[in-house]
Amino acid sequence: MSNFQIINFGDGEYICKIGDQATHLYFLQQGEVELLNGADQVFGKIPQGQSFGEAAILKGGVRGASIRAKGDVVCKMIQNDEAVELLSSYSPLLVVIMEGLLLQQVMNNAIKYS
Amino acid sequence: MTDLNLLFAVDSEKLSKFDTNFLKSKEGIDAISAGELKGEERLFLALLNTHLLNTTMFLPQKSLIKAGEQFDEAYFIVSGEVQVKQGEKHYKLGAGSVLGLSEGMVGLPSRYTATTLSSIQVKIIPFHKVDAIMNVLPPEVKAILVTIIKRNLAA
Repeated sequence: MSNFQIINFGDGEYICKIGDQATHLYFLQQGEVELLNGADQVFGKIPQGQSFGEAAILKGGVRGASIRAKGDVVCKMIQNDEAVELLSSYSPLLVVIMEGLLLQQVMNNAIKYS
Repeated sequence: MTDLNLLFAVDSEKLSKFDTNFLKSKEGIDAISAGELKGEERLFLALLNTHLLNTTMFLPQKSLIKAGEQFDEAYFIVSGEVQVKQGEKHYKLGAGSVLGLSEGMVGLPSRYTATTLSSIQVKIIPFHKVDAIMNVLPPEVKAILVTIIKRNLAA
């Protein structure tokens, strides 16, 4: 897991903003983060132990939401190419599985908002 | 039957014309950077061109997944369409759709029935292979996958 960098965010600090290039994937080690839309309104939260920013796996993707620390937050962060390399180091099939899950997520969103 | 709404599909005919190494080529990287390729199109090409999944064909009216039943493999649709029945909701899904992956990875029965409408080509993701990998992953990596699975199941 050496590819992960540990990074701290203070209460109210933005981890990324909507429209930013998705260059990193995050694992939320401690604390909670809020999801914000284009009007800077909170529409969701991500609790400790979950990841966010998986769009980074899609090279060239952009953030679909802003993410802000709610309280003090500790994240493990990994750059997109390194994330793919890390997944691949366990099994090349793991990258395929991740891509399948992400594609299923896009499909589910299309169904949900149709 | 064919008047069902097609709720998700990529243009497989257009995408299948790209070279198998397109995503890694300069042209492909430039197209991604320029936003000329949508996320789902990039993912479709990646899954289309992987040699790690077996490809098979199914004839029309083949039941792939049945509501309430568990299943051994997930399907990535390369071409063709399936009809999905989920409660009162009926719709079609086309190329690029992924059926049953999140549900199967956590051993849940399907919430819908998926039946082929046309002859379709699929790539198969067998859960015994997925399970073997999941069992050796460290918590952070597993959490990334589980997060996406949870989002898919909540949709």
